[in-house]
Amino acid sequence: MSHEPGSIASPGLLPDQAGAPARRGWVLPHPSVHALAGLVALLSLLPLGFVAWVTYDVGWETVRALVFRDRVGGLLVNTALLEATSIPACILLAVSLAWLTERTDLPFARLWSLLSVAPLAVPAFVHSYAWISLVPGMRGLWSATFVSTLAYFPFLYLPVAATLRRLDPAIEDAAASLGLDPWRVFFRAVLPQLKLAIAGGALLIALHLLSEYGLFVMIRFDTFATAIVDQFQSAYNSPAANMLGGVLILCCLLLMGIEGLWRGSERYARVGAGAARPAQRRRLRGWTLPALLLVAGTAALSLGVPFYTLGRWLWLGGLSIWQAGPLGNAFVQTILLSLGGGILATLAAAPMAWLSVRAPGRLQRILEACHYYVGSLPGVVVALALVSITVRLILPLYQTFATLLVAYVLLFLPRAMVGLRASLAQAPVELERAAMALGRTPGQAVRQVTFRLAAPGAAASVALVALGITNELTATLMLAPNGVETLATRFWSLTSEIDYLGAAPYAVMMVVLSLPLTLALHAQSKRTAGQ
Amino acid sequence: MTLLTLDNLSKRYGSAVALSDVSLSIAPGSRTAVVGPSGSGKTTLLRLIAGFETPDAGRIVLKGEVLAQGGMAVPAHKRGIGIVAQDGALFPHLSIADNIAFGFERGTPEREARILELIDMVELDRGMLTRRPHQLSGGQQQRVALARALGRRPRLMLLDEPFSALDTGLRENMRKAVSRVLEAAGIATILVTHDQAEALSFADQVAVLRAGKLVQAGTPRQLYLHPRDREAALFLGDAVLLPAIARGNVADCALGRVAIAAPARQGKVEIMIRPEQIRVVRDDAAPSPAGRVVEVEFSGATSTLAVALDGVALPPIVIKTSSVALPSAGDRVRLDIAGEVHIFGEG
Repeated sequence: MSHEPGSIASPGLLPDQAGAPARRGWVLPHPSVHALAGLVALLSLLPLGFVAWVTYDVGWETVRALVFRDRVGGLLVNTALLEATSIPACILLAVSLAWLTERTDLPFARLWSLLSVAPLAVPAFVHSYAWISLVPGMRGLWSATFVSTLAYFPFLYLPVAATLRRLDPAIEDAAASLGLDPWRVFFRAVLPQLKLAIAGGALLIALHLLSEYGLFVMIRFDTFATAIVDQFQSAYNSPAANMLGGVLILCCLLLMGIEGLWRGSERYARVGAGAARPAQRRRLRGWTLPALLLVAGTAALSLGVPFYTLGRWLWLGGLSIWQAGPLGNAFVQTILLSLGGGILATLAAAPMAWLSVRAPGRLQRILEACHYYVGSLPGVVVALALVSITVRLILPLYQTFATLLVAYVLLFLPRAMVGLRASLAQAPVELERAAMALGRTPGQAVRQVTFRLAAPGAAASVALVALGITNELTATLMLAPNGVETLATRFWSLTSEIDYLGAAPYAVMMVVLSLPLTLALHAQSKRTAGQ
Repeated sequence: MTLLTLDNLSKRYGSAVALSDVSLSIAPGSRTAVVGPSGSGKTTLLRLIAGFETPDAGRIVLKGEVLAQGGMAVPAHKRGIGIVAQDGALFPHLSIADNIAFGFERGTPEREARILELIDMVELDRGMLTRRPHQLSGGQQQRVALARALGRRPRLMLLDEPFSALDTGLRENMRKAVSRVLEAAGIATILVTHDQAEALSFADQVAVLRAGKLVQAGTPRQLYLHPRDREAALFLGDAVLLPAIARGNVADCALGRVAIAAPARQGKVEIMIRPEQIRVVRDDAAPSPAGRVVEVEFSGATSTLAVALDGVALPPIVIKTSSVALPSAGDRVRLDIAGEVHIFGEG
């Protein structure tokens, strides 16, 4: 779970509020900020550089032997099948739900909208845990598609619903006046305008499918992530695992490329000025019951099943499962790691966020791209790179908190950027100048004006990253020092021993910690649409 | 013969009345302007005609076909009525050519030729066909929206403030171009606007809406010179309103004895004089009725004068006049009235 809700906001979705570049060297010495941002960007290139170096190091013959073999072919087929079945299923489900909740007179639309986002609060591997508890025989491609769709469709629902809310209804009126019946209005005028939202959401889900480990292990479906962890557990620094990591990175880059091509460079904003009138909701009439069945069914499968299973295990376990084992210990360690990682990631993102708001330019865009790309890499690849580098070059750092925190920083850098960038944009350089004109020194001006204004955004960044770390499984499994257990890893080791009963409290605590973020995300998507 | 008949249309949103009892008829090939301040219900009226909304009461009949009655309505896509919205509402994901061809029936023969014919009709360069809507200026987008609506050969064209987003100079140009195109195509048009000058110059029938009610409908000349009430008079242009006593064909007021247009009422009345009817003559020895200029505001070709009349307890009357031989504050002037003045029907 390296991509949690916060990574939805990719750089392209953020408004570029910094108008003209600030004058260089006037407010803060930009060269040092550039240097810091450059350092973080270099760090974020580590995983990519590592794979390139390993490929070079082992030689072409070994690469060929390790990559061009049946095992890799089988994993590629599995991955392709998984993407090809899950993505269309997610698109179909998310667009239907978004249209029903935003554009029709469906009863309790606001409630259904909330319930369509809420599955995000349940980590994907808890989804599969819930299903496997209920239907122990689930395995293979179709089960993987089914559970992935339920766990990930909100990533598409959020942007599609927000876009639907923002679309200018005048466009639909125009299409109707040109003789199109309501169905053709939807397919010819509305759907094409959802393309950007669908492309963005689909990419996010596709990357999740590549990086997810726990979900697929539980229903015994082999993907690159599960294969790499398997290899890793048998030999810490095997060229085989590294080569699989290389292929996985190529898959990520391929997906991003496909999305870029599909998205194109088109503009889908409203053309022209003037206030958009709120869209009319279509009457469902006789379709109300089937529509209700769809939304209620989705909620039952994506929320009802996890909550039912967890509730049942808690009921069966009673008080004793809360007292057994290192639950309190795992909770404290999770909180400490999350906060530490959150603060570190926010500090690491700060120079870049500053540059992208105050000194935009070509160099800044390249550096920023580095910050963002690393967040789309699977946790398993980042962890693998860090393990190999520490083992080969700086052994004392192997399996230390420092390495684990670096992994978290890399995985959640984009999330930290999102909140910081937005709040720095709220603190224009003019305010600092005004403070200096009123007698403050440059340092005082930054401290008293900019830091104060950016503080809420920084706090939001810390929280976003911290919640991501709470539910992170793969990298933590691979990198955590001996004896360190988070809620996620403890949950994982219990379920691996088929102790579903004992695992339930850990799952519940992860869900409880994630719920506030999910609700905030839902509220925010409403707000950006001006409601 | 009428093309479109609106019978006692009413529409409310919750407790807010948007339209009440509006009746109007539109002749084939004619141009009608619906004017009113914002919130007067004019856009609602247009949306009812287009079929985007259903009237609560009343009837809409187009060429003998009932489009809406008693809560039932023919949906927009079956009405054959074209509409050009305020900002054009072009499809941002389609090229200009595809936008224009959007409403064509499937398998329209000579699609390309028809697109070229339409883009020529709205006087746009053919090179624009491959562009996207956001690459065009506001005026060009409006022309494309018009071409797109014309592509369906509509029975009626609705224009929803299509010029309001344009610059002043461009606006007049566009208005003339659109009139020309629609006249050549022989399509009856309804224009909704809050700009009275636009309404008066565009239409051969003007309907004034206020608070959801139709105040008055008629030719632009009729409405401008003989408005039903003070609000209508002031909405359609500047006016000087004075109390007067009507006797036969004349009325006595603070400006002396003036001719009245239609001597419908006698005795105490209120008269309306359009400022262009008043000529200001500098005359130090002017006999009564005369006045003294109390304020002069120079603004280029025309200027505004405030004149306090002798011997009446009225606020100074405000007159726009040519800046040639402009009197200065303190000068004594005589006010001559040209033509007949209008008496409001009631009260």
